[in-house]
Formats: sequence, structure tokens, C-alpha cells
Amino acid sequence: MRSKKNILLAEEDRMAASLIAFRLRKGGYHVDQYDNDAEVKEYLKTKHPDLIICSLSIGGTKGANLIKYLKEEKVFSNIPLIIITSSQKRASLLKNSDLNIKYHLMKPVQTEHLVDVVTSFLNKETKIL
Amino acid sequence: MMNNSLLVNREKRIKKRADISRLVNDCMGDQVYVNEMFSLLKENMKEFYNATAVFLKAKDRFSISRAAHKIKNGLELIQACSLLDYVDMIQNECQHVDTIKNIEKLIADSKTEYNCVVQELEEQIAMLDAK
Repeated sequence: MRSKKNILLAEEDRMAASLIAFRLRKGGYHVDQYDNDAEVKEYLKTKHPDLIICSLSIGGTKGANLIKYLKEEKVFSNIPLIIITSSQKRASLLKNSDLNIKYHLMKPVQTEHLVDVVTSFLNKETKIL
Repeated sequence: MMNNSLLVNREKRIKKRADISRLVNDCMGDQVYVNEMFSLLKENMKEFYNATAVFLKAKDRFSISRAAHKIKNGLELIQACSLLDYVDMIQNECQHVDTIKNIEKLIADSKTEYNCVVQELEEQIAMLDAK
């Protein structure tokens, strides 16, 4: 029996987190969700998810710092990373930064589209990021 | 020719304060989950009004603006356009100095509108449950 893929969801907004986790679980994924960057870092000390969905609003305005941490820690740098944000401006800044973010989704997230994106990332054999 | 009461009813149907249909779709028709999400929304809004009451006393426009930003996603999920307009107006006022009184009035007015939105959503959810 094939084991479920693990997704780490880092999102401060309770409604968004609940909805995203709900749809991903319905899609057959195991989801661990946290609403602050401290708990995310604690989780990552012992777990290695298959994909990370990170909101830019987590940790107040420090969402970008968490993303930078994920990219800089070698053990996580190869995990596919999807960013979600309500600010087109912040999304553009990230795209133009040295963080090499490959995919971002605007809030409110179209959950069907998110599941499709997640599936496409997790089904790819080669490295995404 | 339509009489006046029919016209008023038709207008009421057209001018929805909020619409649960997108949320129902996102919840894949799971009514238990729709109710859970509705409860979460109400919790978020309660937190917003409690927090902004404190921020208003402190005249902390930045925190009010940030609190307003945090409720946007939920309001978009239920397509509460009038409340989203209030959020935009509150955030706009927060960018200027000496606007605390205006912000206070906008928050109070938004609360009145929010109560109407809750009532409307409860009716929409009741109709779902009846199906």
C-alpha cells in the first residue's frame, strides 16, 4: 500500500489553513498545519515533508524570513515550496529576489487549483527548486 | 406588470450582502464543514472587533490596518462585498493622521453591516440544510 505524501502547511489565517488542509486531505495527502514560524521550525527538526506550503503572512510580517530559512537550510532546500500571499507586490518582490521561489498562489486560494499544483509538484521525479 | 411587493422581493434576492455558494463549493458540499468554517469566520470577526476596540483607544492605526487585512480572506470566501469595502475604507483612513474618529465610525458601521451579513448567511445555510 502506497503511503500518503506529507505536506507541511504554514499559514496564520485559520480559515485559509482549515480550507487548504481540508481539500488536501480530501485529495489523499497527509497535512501538518502550523500557524507560527516557531512551531514550523520545531516540526522540521524531526520531520521531512514532501512539500511545503507557506504563507507570507505567517510570523506577522516575517513570512519571508521563514522562507529564507527553508531555502538556506540545505536539508530543506530541495523540498518543493509553494508560497501563498494576498499581496501581488510581495509576490513580485519574492520572484525577483534570490530566493528562487518557483510557484506562488494569490489569496483567496482556489483550492481546486492548489490541489492540481500540489499533485503536479509531487508527481514530478526531478527536483523542482 | 409586476406589483411593488414582487419588485422589492426581486431586489432583495439580487442584492445579497454575502454569498455562501463559493464556500460551499470549496467545502465540496460538506455541510458540517461549511458550518465549521462559518463558526471560524464568526470567531475571526469577533477577534477583529475586540482587537480594534483596544487599538482605537491606543490610537494605533497600524495595528487596526493589520487587523483589517487579516479578515479580508474570510470575507472574500463568503463574498461579503460591502464588508470588503469597509475594510478598504478603514485601511485607507489608517494611512492618514488624525483620522481615528473616522476609523472608529467606519468600524462601528461595519459592525452593523456584519450583523446583517451573519443573518443572511444563517438563512442561506438553513436553506442548504433544508435540501
